[in-house]
Amino acid sequence: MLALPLVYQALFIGLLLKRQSDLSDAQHWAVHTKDVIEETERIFRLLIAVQSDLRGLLLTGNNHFGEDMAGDEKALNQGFLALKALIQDNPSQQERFQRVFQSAQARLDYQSAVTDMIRDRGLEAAREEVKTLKGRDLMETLQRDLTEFRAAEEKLDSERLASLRQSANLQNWLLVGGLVVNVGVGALAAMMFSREIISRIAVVTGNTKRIANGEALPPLVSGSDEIRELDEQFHILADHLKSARLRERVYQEALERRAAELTRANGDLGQKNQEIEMFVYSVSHDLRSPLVNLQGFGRELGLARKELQALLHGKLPTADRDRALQLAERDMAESIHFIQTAVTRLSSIIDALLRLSRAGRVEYHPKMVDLQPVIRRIVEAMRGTITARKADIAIEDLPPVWGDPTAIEQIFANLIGNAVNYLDPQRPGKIEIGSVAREVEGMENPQTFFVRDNGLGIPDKYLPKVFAIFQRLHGDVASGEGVGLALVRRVVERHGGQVWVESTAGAGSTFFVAFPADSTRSPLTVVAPRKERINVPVPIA
Amino acid sequence: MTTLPVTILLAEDDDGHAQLVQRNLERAGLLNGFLRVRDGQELLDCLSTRGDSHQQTLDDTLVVLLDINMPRIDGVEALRQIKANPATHRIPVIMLTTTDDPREIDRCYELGCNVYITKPVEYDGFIDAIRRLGLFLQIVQRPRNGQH
Repeated sequence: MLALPLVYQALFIGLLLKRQSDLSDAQHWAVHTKDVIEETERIFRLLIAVQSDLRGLLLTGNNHFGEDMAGDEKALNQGFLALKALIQDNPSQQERFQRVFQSAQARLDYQSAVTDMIRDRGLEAAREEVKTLKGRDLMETLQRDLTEFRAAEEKLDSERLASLRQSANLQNWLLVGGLVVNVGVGALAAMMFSREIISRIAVVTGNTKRIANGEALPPLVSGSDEIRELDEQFHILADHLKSARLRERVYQEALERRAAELTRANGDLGQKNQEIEMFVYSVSHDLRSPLVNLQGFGRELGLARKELQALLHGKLPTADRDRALQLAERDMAESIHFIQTAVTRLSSIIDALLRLSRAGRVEYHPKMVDLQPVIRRIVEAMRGTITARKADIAIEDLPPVWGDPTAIEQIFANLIGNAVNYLDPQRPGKIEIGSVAREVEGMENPQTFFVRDNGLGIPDKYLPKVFAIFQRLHGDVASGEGVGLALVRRVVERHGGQVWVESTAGAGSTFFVAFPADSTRSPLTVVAPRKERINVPVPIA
Repeated sequence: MTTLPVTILLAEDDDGHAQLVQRNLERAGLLNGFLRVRDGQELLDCLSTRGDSHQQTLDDTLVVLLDINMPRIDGVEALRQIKANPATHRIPVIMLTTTDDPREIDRCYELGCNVYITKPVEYDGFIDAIRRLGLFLQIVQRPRNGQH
């Protein structure tokens, strides 16, 4: 591409040199022609001189003329030699020269013949000879040939000049045209060159945008100049950016994972907080309930005592005695009953609270627990109630589970106890205990057990409250503080498990308990009590 | 004291509370007619069966005292159902409960309870509340009686 204008420049310079040499050639030839003509003139003059010498000799007989003639003839011969040398390059002129030379030789032969005649036969005889005009004819022929030669040379000269002029003209045009073409080609080359640069720079510029947009780069631009180098740098930069983006994505994902974990942890905390709020609410509500009785009936007792005192201080007629008896037997006895009941209830609520609180703190001693004997023991302890309710209990084969034996017994005792307590008296009770494969959110291959009954069941709207403290749906069916299921949930959660219920009101309930598959997935360790911590995996960057 | 031609329907699962309310209403002379049920379900059943036969007089002579924390159907739900039912929505309902949680109080007023009384641990306060209840009942009932 770049070579083209250079080649053209070289051609152009060649043309210029050619023109220079043509010109000097032309000058050389012009001088040459002048020399030839000059030499021709000289020869002509010498011929005239030789003729004059002969005439002088014929007229005077003086031998001086004869000597002059010999000298002139000698000069003439030299002139012919010189002219011959000059026209060696021109065959047509050589031909003419040959004719001139022959004519001249003939004339000179004639002259020497006349000279010999003068010497041998005398002047008169020679004069007679000259009168024949043979010499003049020879001279005319010679003159004609010489003139022809000269004319040919002059014609040649003018031809050369014309050709020179023509070639100079042509060369001038070529020069101008060449210059124009040269400028044009230069401009074109510059344009194409710059266009190529522009297009390559455009690719590189586009690459910066692609880098900014995170797109893939096209192959490197061609060439081996600075633009290529720049593009290479951009490719390296793009590679760096790409790996940085990859790293960023890894970080981002890790961050999102952590955020999700935090959200989950936050949700857990929120739930715990709600539980505590519920707890405080329940405590304020449920503890106040017996207190209202204590205060109320205490006051009732006080009022009854005052009235009784007033009656006893009086005369005590029959009506008053009856009233006093009524106060002592009915009002006061009733008040005392309610106070005692309230105190008992308060005490059992406080006990339940203590149990629940202890369930969160007690140190567990986990091991693999065989559930079969545990369940049998629980059922045995409830045999009386079970028989009274005419309930049938079926126990399936149960896999062992990792946990604290006492705590696990507590869990199943509560669940089975509930199942027995809330059986429907209208139909024979049926309770099943078994294990089942269930997907549990947040747990890997959990060990899931169930306790199923055909009892009263739980309406949908009460399901969310089932595991909350002090919630009692069937308050009239069985006694209790509404702590059992709250306790179960607490214990199960400490084992890293989950508990939930599926129920249809009037048809029965199934309580599920999911435990971690084995000790490695359990938060309970054999050694020290577990420390609570949120496990946030740190990604390897 | 004035004896009002009013039937008080108390829904209360705690026997002691029921007894205390009853005694104090009696002492305040408000115990003309008194009926106690043990939870919200029983209350609603009672209202629907009574409503069928005494529709005309029931609204004018009945006042419901509602405890909140009860098994089966609790007081708030019972209140909602009473106020949502055109047959019973005119019955005055007095919430009588140990909870003084402002959210619970707001909720009950939103559902249309007429009075909200916190069961006081202080006995004097309780009596006072019952007396105010008696006054309230007099105010509520008189114009109604005038319509007959």
